[in-house]
Amino acid sequence: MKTSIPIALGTATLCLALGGSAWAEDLMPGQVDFGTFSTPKGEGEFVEVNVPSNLISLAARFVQKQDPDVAQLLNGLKLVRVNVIGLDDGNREELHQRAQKVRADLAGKGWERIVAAQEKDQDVSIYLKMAEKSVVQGLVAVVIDGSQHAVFVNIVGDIKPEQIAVLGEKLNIDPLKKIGRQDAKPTEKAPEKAEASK
Amino acid sequence: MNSTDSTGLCGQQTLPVLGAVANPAKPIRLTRPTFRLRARQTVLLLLLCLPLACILGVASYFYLSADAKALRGGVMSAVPGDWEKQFAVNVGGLTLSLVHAGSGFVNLPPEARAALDAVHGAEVGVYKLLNGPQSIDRLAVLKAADREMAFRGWERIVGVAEPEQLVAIYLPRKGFSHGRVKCCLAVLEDRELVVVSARVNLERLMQLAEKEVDRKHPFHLGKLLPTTRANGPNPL
Repeated sequence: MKTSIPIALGTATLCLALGGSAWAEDLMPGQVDFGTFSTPKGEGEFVEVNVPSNLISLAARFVQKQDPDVAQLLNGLKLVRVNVIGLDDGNREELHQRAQKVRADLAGKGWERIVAAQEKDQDVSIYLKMAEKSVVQGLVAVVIDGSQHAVFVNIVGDIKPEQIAVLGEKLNIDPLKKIGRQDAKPTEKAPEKAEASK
Repeated sequence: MNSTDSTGLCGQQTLPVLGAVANPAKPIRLTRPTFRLRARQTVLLLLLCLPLACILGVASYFYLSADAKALRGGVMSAVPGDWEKQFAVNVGGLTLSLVHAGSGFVNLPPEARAALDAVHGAEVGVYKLLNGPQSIDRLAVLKAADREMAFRGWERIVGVAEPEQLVAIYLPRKGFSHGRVKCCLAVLEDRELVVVSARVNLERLMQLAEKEVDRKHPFHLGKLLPTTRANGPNPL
C-alpha cells in the first residue's frame, strides 16, 4: 500500500508528460504536415528550409527600417517551410501521389484553392486557409515541375489579404502577385458600381 | 578540597570537568595563527592549480564544444567507416575579447572590425572519411544529426542534400535573442566533414551583411520554384 501510491503517482505523471508532449506536437492552424520526404537517389537535389517564428521575428526587426511593409508581414508569420525535391525515376510517381494526397486533404479540411494550373508537365496549386475577419492563417503551394522537381511550401501565420501580394513580390511567386492585383481590382471597380447605381 | 559548584577554594573558579583551577596570574594568551595559514594555503593552491588551468585552457583550443561534438557524432554515426581528424580549433569568448581589446591598437578596416564585433566565439572541426561506402545515404545522415541535435534542444532550419554535398544548419529552439545567437553547421562534401559552431551577435552581423550584399537581389524563393506561365490565362 505504501509503495503503490508513489508508483501510481509516477505513472500518472508519466502519462501526463507523454500526453502533454503529444498535445504540444499538434499542428498550428494553417500548418500542414507534408510528411517525410526521401532524398532522390540519383542526381536530384533535396532542399528543406524550416524557419521558426523566433527567426522570422528577428528578420522582421532587421528590415523594419528599410521596408516596414515586409516587416509587418514577417511579424505576422509563425512558420515558413519549404521542401524542394529533385525528381527521378525512383520518386516521381511517389511524389505525384503525395501531391495529390496533400491537395485532397487540404480540400477536405476547408482550405480554399485559389490557383490551379496544369499545363503540359507543370502542375501548380495554391491553397489558403482563411480564419475570421478575412485573415489568412496558412498558405500552401504545391508545384510539380514535370521531370525536374517538386516543391511544397507552407507559410503559417496571420496574413492579411493585402499582404499576399507583398509576399508574392518578395518571394517572387508569380501566382501570389496576381492574387494581390486581383484583390486590388474590386476596390477599383466599386466606385464605378456606385456611379452606375446612381 | 574540591567543590562541586563553580566556586572553588578562595573564590577561584573551577572548571567543572577537570576540576582544574584557572589562575588569573597567568592568563591564557590566545594567538590567532589561522588567518595566515589560510592565506598561505590559498596561495599554494592557486600556484598548484595555475599550471593545470593553463593546460586545460590551451587544450580547450583544440576541442569542440558539446553541441558541435553532438552534431559531428550524429553525422559520423550515419556514415560507416573510419574518420580521421584533420584539425579542430575552438576560439572562445575570452580569447576573442582579448583580440577585440587588442584590435583597438591596430588600424583595422571597418568591415573587419564589424566582423570581430559580431562574432563572440567560433569553432571549426575538419574530418576525413578514410574508408567508407561509395555512396552515402544523405537522408539517414540528416535524420541522425537531427536526432542528436534535437536531444540537445536544437532544430534544423536548413537542410540541403545534393549528390556530392550535404549541408545542415541548426539553431537552438530557445534562448534566442537579437543579441546573441549560437548556430551549428555541418557540411559533408565528398569524403570530408566540416563542423562549424559560432556564437554571433546577429544584429551586428546583419548590419554587416546589409552593407555587403546587394539589396536589389534579396533571397528569391522563386528561384527554387519552376517558372510558371504567369502570362497565360488566369485559371480563376
